[in-house]
Amino acid sequence: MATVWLGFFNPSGKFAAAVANAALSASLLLSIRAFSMTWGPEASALTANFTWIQVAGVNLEFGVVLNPLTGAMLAMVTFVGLLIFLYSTSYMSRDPGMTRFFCYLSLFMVGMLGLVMSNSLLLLFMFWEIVGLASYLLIGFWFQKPSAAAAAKKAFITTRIGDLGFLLGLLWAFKATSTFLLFDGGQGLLESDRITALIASKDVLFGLNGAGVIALFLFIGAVGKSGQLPLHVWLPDAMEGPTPVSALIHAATMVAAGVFLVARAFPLFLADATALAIVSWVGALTALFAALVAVGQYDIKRILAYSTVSQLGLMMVGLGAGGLALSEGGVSIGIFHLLTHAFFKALLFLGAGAIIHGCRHEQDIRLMGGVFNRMKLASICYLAGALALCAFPFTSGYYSKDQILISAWTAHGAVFWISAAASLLTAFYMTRQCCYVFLGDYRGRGSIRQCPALMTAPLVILALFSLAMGIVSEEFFHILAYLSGFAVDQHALIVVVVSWVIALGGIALGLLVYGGSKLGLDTTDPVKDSLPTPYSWMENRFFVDELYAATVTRLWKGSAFLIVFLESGFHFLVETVRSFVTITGGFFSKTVDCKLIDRISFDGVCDRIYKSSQLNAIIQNGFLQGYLRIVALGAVILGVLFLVFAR
Amino acid sequence: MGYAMITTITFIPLLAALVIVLSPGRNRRQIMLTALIGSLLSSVLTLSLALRFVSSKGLQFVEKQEWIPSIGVDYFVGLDGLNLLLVLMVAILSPIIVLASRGIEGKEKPYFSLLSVQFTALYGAFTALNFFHWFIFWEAALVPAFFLIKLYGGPKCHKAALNFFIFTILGSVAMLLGMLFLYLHTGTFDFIELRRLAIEGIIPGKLGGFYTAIFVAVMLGLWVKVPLFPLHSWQAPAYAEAPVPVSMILAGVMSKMGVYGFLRLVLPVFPEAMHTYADTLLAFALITLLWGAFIALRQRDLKRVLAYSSLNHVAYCMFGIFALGAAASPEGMNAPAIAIQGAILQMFAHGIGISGLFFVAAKLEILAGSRDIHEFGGLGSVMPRYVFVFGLLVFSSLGLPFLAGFAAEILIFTGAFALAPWHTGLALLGLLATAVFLLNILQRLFTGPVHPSRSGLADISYREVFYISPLLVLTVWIGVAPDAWLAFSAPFVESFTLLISR
Repeated sequence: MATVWLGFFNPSGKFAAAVANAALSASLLLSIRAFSMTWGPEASALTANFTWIQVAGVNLEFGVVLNPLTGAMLAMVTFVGLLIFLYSTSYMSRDPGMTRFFCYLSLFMVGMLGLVMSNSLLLLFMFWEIVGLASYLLIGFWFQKPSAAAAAKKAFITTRIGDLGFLLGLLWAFKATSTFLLFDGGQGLLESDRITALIASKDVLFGLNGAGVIALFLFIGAVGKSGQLPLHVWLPDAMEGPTPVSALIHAATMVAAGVFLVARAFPLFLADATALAIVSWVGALTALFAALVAVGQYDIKRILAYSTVSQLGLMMVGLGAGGLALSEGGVSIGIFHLLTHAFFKALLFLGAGAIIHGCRHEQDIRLMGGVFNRMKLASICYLAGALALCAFPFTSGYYSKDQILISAWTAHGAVFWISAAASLLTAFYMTRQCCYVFLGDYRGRGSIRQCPALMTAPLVILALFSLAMGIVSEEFFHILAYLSGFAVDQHALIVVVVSWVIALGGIALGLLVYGGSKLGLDTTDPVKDSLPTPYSWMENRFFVDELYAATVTRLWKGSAFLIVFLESGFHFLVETVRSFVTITGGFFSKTVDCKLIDRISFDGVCDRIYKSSQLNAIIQNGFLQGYLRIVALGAVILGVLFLVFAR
Repeated sequence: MGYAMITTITFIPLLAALVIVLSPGRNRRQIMLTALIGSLLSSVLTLSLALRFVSSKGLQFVEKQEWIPSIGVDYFVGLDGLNLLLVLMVAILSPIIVLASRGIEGKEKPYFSLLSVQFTALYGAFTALNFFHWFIFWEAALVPAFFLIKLYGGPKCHKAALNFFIFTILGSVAMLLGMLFLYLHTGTFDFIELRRLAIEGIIPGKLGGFYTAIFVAVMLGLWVKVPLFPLHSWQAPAYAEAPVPVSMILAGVMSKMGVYGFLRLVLPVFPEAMHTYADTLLAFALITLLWGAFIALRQRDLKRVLAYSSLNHVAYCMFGIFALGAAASPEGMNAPAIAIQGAILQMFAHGIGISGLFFVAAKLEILAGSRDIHEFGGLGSVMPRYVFVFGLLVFSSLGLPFLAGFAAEILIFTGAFALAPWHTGLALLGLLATAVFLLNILQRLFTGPVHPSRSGLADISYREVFYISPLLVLTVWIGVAPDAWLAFSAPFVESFTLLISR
């Protein structure tokens, strides 16, 4: 399996698009093979471990693991990745930095595949950071734009706050178990012996047990990476990167790494119900919050970005509530939504890229309109993705979201209703966006361009998957059913009703509000007309960025300022000491040292050195000798003490 | 074969200095070549020693001669797991430092002779195993550095050099007095002998009520050298005002002398005190590392940013060392060994990394005549090679996995967390601040529109990349496969920590 990602290191030097595409195709084939290896009922996790560092009999180990979770992620990442690589080959063809672009993309793929395969918490963290670096480089790809550079920095730092949580979890795990390995023939972190031992230590921190604490810290890392509240602020800004990057990294794969981490470390979460409850609550609140914000946005990519945040929240609900309701089955619920979402959200972003390309690089939906008539095929694909996102019955999103709602219903009523509200809003804001973009007349500059076939082809493939992937849901749950024997079809009637209502109702409501209205820059948004105050909050993203600027950032900068101020106090002190020494040094040179220093003929030696090295002119300022004499004084003290004591 | 190898290595640069001083010619090229050959010879010999070094055999290549028998002073040098990596670091850096001095204009003769004397002092200080001549080398290292800063430094170099000198001298005097007191009560200057006495628990009894005072006094000299809060104020001006090759020596090597002193002297001789005061010491290391990172946030001078980042990074070493005494190690692992291994690797990694950073920072100053990061922008489109080299070193410094900084820091944190979780948790904040200020530099220098006055800057030449290529290779090598480097010190650290941890 190592070849999957080692393949990437081979094309050294010239990372031209063709090389990257070829390498990725190869790893796609390997991944599919790997995935299929995990299917059979007898397939158990394959692991290969080796030692990275050995210290005093303790090993810091690396390893790779192949189980259904890994296999599914590998297949998805390489498949969606390949489509996006192909799309980028066309999308970026005129960019002078194309080689650099594919270099970064390949770096990302190395990190992402490594992350998915890691069997060691430490190795997982290392690839996690590599993926973060690739994201930083790609968001700031157009580094000449100050906003892109700022967004890249913000992304790296915000996710790093989460990473510190991850790091703490990792350190805690090592302290408690002396191992980083996840599966290790019964001795791994996620295997029952260790988990039992961890649960045995109760009330370690905040009332959580030993496993729950580790789980919670890991979850902080997941919150950062997957843009959950309160660390979601970087993800919408990350849209400064090229659109294929938004599709690949900030929609389909990297941001899902947080969800993947929770799924990977699920046994730890299962060990403490509080941890699971926290996961589901954070997920539900994020889902609702981001959906609300998405209603108030005008930038086509930002709407999708908030939608991503919201959907990631739902995945967390799937994991958290799923864990509470179905124990180990939670993994398959969260991960199935991750996979379907990867397809339809990649589709939406690539479609948005095609639309942006067509509309002469305009991203404001108020300046679009009438796109459907000009770009029929791309628009149909986009609508397919939108339907899947709205969980329209029998699309892929319907199957995966349904599972989340069912488990939320079983686990916690409030979480269920919050998730349902978020889903309703999802359907609403997607309809709003589609009305703006596709209906009416074109309101932008110039005329709409067609996009090349190489960009449209991936859209079609993704659209087919988005619509049809629901069919495999049963099979998928069976593949992941190594985890559990839960039944897929425990539909409570209310859940079915609610999920139909939210999808159809949300779309209907959207059409009702936006369908017939005249939209554009010069007219206010219909929702703003009727609900001005709440809408302005949504437009301004609930002022979270401003709140952080006023509190966290200010505190941070303030403490830096304070420390610099204190430091200048120290410098003042130093200056005082220096003046003091200068004065006493003068005193020494006049009175004391003539007697002491001459004894070891220090001056004589010095003079000779100085003359030989032509330094005389510079040394003549007089101070130097004074200080050298202090050195001599030290030597003299040494000598005197010997004379006194050494006998 | 091999007798007096260490002495040879140590004194070759001094010989080069003498040749430079005594030879009549003033040909710049010739002078530089002499210094380069001197440092290269030592480097090659050191590498040959490292290749023959067997880490399980303890102290090797020992030279021990009676020197002043009446007071028990031996000339005693040798290599063990503790100092090998540091001597290797001096060997790797010294030729690069000479090459980095190509920009020195005028007064080449004293410059290169002082530089060579400096190398001798550094080799000596890292190999000496008897306090007496260790201290001589320790002090001798100070003198050339002082002159180099004062004579070749920036506009405020006089004050900076003086502060540097006064601080270190005061620290050294305190340490000297402490060691003399120790000598008077134990009768030996021998590091190895002192360690034996300490392990047998004899030293506290001999020192009686003065134990803590002597501990503090000995520590003071090292404290200044590292430096740790609150005795760090000399550092930033000295690093910033020194000519770049000297900044490389100060930040890359001399700061490690202090850390090394802790490992060689304080930890083995005063283990009880290290246990008793572990929390206080950890707090100081913690303050230092946060202090450095936060000040670096507000600096505009590139060299000052690097100076404060150095304060921050070396404090991680000290953090790992101080954690040793905080608590007993959890069952089933030797956490102090992990932390100390991390500290040793961090010394090496930081020495490599910060020297590389100063080297490339100098490039900018030479080209553009400014170090103010606000006066740059958009260099990414002007000098792509430069950005790659700079970026690699910066990301190693902020602890990106698979680069040197991460390997060292993860060990320090893994070990320290098992011993002092709360302190370590807070220390992680330093990692965040480090990331913020380093990304700030990247943003200021390389992104945005090209600064109007900087559009014509030449990229870093392949020759310069070649000069620092050993540093770049090591940055990746240590990051990917640190075990090869840790193997040098592993047996030493393991037995050492078993003896002195709780």
